[in-house]
Amino acid sequence: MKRLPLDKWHSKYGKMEDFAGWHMPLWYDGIKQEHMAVRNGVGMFDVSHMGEIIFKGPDALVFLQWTTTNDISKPPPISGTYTLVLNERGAIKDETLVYNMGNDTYMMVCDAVARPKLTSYFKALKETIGRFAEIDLKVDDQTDTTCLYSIQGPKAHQLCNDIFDINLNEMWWFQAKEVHFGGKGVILSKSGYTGENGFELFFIPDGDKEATDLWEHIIHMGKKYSITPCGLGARDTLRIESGYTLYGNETYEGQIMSEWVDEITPFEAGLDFALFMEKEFIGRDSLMMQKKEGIKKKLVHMKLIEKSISRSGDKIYCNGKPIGIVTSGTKTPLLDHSVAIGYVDIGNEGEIYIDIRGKMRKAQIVDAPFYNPKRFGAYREM
Amino acid sequence: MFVGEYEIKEGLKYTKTHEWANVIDGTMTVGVTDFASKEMGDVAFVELPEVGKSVEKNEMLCEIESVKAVSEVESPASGTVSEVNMELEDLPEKINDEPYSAWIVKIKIKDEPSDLLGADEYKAFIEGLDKD
Repeated sequence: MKRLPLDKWHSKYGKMEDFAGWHMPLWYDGIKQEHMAVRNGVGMFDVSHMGEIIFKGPDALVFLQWTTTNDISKPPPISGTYTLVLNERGAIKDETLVYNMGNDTYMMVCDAVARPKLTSYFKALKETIGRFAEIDLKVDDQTDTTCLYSIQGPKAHQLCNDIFDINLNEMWWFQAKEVHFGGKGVILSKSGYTGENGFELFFIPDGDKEATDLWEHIIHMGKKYSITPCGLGARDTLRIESGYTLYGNETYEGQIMSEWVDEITPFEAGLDFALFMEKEFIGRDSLMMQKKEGIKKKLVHMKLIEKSISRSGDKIYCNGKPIGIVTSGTKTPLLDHSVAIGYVDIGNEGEIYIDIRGKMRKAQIVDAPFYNPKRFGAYREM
Repeated sequence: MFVGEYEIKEGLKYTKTHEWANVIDGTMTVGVTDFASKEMGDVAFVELPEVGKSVEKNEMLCEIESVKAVSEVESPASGTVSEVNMELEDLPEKINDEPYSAWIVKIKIKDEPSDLLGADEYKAFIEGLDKD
């Protein structure tokens, strides 16, 4: 079991859970309160378990262009691109952010569950290429030494302005700036996973104390905005409410969910905005073929009409026959109904029902996000 | 009394699956303990059983849906459901706020089971869990 630099702090104030090999905070005062803090004010997550893989060298860009789907050559230092790693069948190995850090250096931020697999995959690919050609590239997994704090919510901007005393206005999504804490460089990126405006701080602390000092400094500065520390529980309810996919739930390779749904491609998951088809990349040929043939299943967002909570693995029915499966589901504190994300076969018309532990519950396919975007989220009307 | 942050109310009976029970005149009132409510986190729904349903000891009485997961409430005794707390339909969070007032069901029981724990025994049981 790996422990975060802030493990003592989390264990003192939070309910802990083992997740992806890490001892993680699930919640502190409760998921509801933490969820609402992010929707109405500001919350902070310690997501240092997420992967940071560094690609360094003159061949780093070419290598990443070939192994991921989006065009990462455009964003200037320091800024990131949402890009997918696919297998040769076009299925999703992981959803990642790749930051151009300058000086032929790129930082890939990836899912904690997928990280060990991705690190070995990239290292093996590099070795294989190295047998046939010169390749000047270092692949270095820096997850264990890197802290990642995510500050999210409508007050996140003001709070980060207060703490780092820099102008964050006009920053675009996934743009990053180097700021300082105690003389040390911290990468501040405009990003997050909650549907709200937010910033993520990457830094390499000298020991647990430095990690705790920064965390507590942010909590102290955030008091006037009623900052709330948030655990993985609220992180999940917030991302589901925003309709975001999660590796291992909505996106995966292989058959991990059930016999019902085979591995998932970007077209099926609705992630084709991250495909730059004008370049060569691993999985592209399979995607071209799928584009020609058309997809058979697609991701849907569902609202439960009845009072019940659907969970991952529940089957979806239409006209009495099973047509798909739920991949994520919860009752979010903001909404008065529960919500689910899943996959359904294309071409079914009629009311849908979800089999929740033996009871058929009526559901309805809706658009994401589940919340009213005029009132909540990054694009709310002020 | 308390074990850490968990309250245990004297005078009630307890199960190792974290239900509390209070028997008056052959009717057992059942709820979940403070420990259980804190373990499951914010409660979102309570799936109440139907009045008149017969239940067996240690079998599922009802389900509590927290934001995070579903938990089963086991029946501490055999009998017939005589009343359910309809207030929980609209205010499920009462289970978190006041676990010992937020009763879930009342059961007309045949015999009072002899294996329920007293408050002191339940306290010792929770303390034992804590050491793991």
